[in-house]
Amino acid sequence: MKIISVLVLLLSVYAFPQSEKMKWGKSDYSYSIESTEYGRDYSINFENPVNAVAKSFINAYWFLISDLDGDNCPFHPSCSAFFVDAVEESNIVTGTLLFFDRFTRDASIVGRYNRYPKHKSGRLYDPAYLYYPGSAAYIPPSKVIDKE
Amino acid sequence: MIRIFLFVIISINFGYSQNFHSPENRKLFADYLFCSEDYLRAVIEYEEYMKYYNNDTILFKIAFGYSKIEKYNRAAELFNKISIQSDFYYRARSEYLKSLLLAENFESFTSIDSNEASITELKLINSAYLFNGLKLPDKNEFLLPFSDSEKNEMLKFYEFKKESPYKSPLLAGIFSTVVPGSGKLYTNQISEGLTSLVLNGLFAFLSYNNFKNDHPTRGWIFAGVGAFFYAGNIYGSAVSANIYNQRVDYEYKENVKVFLETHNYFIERYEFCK
Repeated sequence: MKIISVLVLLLSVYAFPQSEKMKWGKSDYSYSIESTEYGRDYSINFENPVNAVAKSFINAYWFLISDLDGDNCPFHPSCSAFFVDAVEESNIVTGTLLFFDRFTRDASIVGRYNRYPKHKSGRLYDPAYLYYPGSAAYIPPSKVIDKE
Repeated sequence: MIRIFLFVIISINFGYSQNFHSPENRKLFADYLFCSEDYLRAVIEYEEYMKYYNNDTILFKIAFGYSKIEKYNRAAELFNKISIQSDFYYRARSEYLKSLLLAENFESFTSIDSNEASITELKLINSAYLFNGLKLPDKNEFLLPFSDSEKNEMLKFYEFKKESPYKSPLLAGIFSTVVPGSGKLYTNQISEGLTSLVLNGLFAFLSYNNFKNDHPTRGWIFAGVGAFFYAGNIYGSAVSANIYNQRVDYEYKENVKVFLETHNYFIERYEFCK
């Protein structure tokens, strides 16, 4: 009889649970640390020969120098990736000017951690699109950028 | 044992005789959630209640909840639905304007007739001028609805908006053309400006020194790299002025928002949860 009573009690609880329990229940949480290493894209687009030549130089630099030298650039994207983006998204002239300006910013080591927003990888977020003439944009340094 | 069994059966029957999902119980639960500042869930419960009863207070609370969870467009839409017969009509109008401000929907302010607006509404309409690109009204007209304690701060914002301390990209470019790095100094990028000056000076010296010592190939290489740094710096200085101007705008808008937030957008606070 005792067992039946307990069973009735338990069954009634399990048979009519609150629907909200499912709706507002805790979500599964993953404690694994997300990788922030991004693979390099060595592909070359031959539609634009000038860009293809520039990308070939960068590929050679990545393969022969950068990969051996190590992951040292404080910025995201790195200076070489910045050059590739700048050339692809604008043109070789603007891209080159943007690259040399970025290089000056890279060499300027005083106070830069207070000037740039942070990328989730821990680097300073400084993509090329922020520096195009018509669409230059300001992102406050307090922001953490969550996208690649 | 039979008594225990009966107690369990009776308890279960009694428990299930209560309808926890009735509109009244949903409203009670929603009130509890609302007062616990759990606006997301409160809005859902209130919306369930509204399927059975039409109630302006609840509609106002739903709109208020949407505003609190930063769904400002939806909040504005619901505040706008509150009828003129409702006790909440004038509050809803103020909240509607506040939601438009927070949603950065400044175009909608142009269609509002300020002749019929209350003091609070006028304050909000004038505050919108501080954000949008429309021509600012006359200073006295702008400050008229604000109290003496608010006027000082609003006057500062007004004058800042009227004559923002922008930097000229052209001037920054010219400065860097004359003295490398000076355009960046002009846009308050001190470290970058000095680095640029040093880099350009270094490459100029290396080029000069190599030509002088009869090494023309090295001289041309350093001259070429230096020229790129020089041109890049001119371009970068002009862009830096643009970014500086955007920073000025951003910080100004943040200051206005903080001011409005601390004054609760000039709207009196409600006492729904005494």
